[in-house]
Amino acid sequence: MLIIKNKRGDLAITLMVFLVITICLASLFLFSTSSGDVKTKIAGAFIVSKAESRGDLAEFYIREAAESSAIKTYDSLIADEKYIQKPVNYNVDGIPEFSELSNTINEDFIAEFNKNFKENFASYEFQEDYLIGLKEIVAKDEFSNSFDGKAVMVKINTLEITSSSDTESIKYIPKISVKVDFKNIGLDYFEDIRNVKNICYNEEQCYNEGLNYFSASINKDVVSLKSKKDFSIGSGFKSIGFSFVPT
Amino acid sequence: MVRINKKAQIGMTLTWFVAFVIIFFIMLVFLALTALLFAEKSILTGDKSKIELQKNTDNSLSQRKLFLLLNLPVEDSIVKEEIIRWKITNNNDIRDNLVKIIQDDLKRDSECTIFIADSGKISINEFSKMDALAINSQRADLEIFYETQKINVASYTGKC
Repeated sequence: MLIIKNKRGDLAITLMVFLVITICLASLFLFSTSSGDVKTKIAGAFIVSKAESRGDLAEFYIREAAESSAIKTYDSLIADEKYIQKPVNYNVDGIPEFSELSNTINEDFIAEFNKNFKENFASYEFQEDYLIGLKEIVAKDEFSNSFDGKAVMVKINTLEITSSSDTESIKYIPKISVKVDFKNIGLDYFEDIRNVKNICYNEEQCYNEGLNYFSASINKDVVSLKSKKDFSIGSGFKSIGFSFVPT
Repeated sequence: MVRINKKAQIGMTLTWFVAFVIIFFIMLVFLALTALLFAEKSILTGDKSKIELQKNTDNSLSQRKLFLLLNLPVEDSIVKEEIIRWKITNNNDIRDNLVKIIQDDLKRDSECTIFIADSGKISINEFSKMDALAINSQRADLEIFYETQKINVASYTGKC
């Protein structure tokens, strides 16, 4: 009865009780509504990984096309004797004399490579949207390439890859940079061939010791080099070979 | 001499007692509701879990393994080139050599992998678990292009 009669009470204590109620309700509200964020984060991890996988696959195809184009270009530069400084002289059997490397070998290489690279990529058949986009980028020349006599570089920075889950979607723009070094695909640098030629002249063993990826044979001052490795050029596998008269 | 106001002390004590009872009751309700919500959130409670993990559609593990397999060295070449050579020549010796090289590599893995080239299973390292692996892991696909043809290559990699 005393409690009921004590109507005066204390405002501070009443306020404190209400504050406790407010804090408890707020905590419960936040606790019960925080599950959405957790779900979002878990879903997000997968789509990032998926986008990166797609980026890796795009890089794989660029490397494939770049490697086969580099081999084809190397082969055609040799076949067209573009590696030799002009004017090219020939012996009585029509074998070119090799004195110096062409001054424009790097420019010739990149021009031929560019053509082969685009042709190669145009023949690829893709179903995925981002790979079709990659094909369009190559067809429109929206890539950069360079050649330093040893390796060819291809860079693409405009490919857009989208990856999505039920709730989220991301756009990923990978920086694709592919370097194809002749030594990694089993071919000697033109510069190394010239240097070995200048040292060996017409000593077969010297060529075989100086070059890593070609085997040499010499017949009547004509040096014939044949790649140790076979390459997929044209309709089958074949070695890259050429002959010259060292001068 | 200080006169003690006993009446006021009783009133104050009663007010605090009532406040204590109310706050204590609120705390109990808070704890009960928290426990209830926590039980629903817990992953460990199985069926009660309200956290839904989105199905993993990521095939990065299979894809990484596929890239590694394709770049395995084979004498002065790599597996990818040998697959092309096998398709061009139809030489079964090349295929048998590929199977051996790939299986030797897979034996060192803690994971299981099925490697498929051109609709023919070239190599797997856990024959008995092949079906389960194919169901539970994501497939990684790519095409090896050569001239006007292509070879479909795929792999499944997952826990054995």
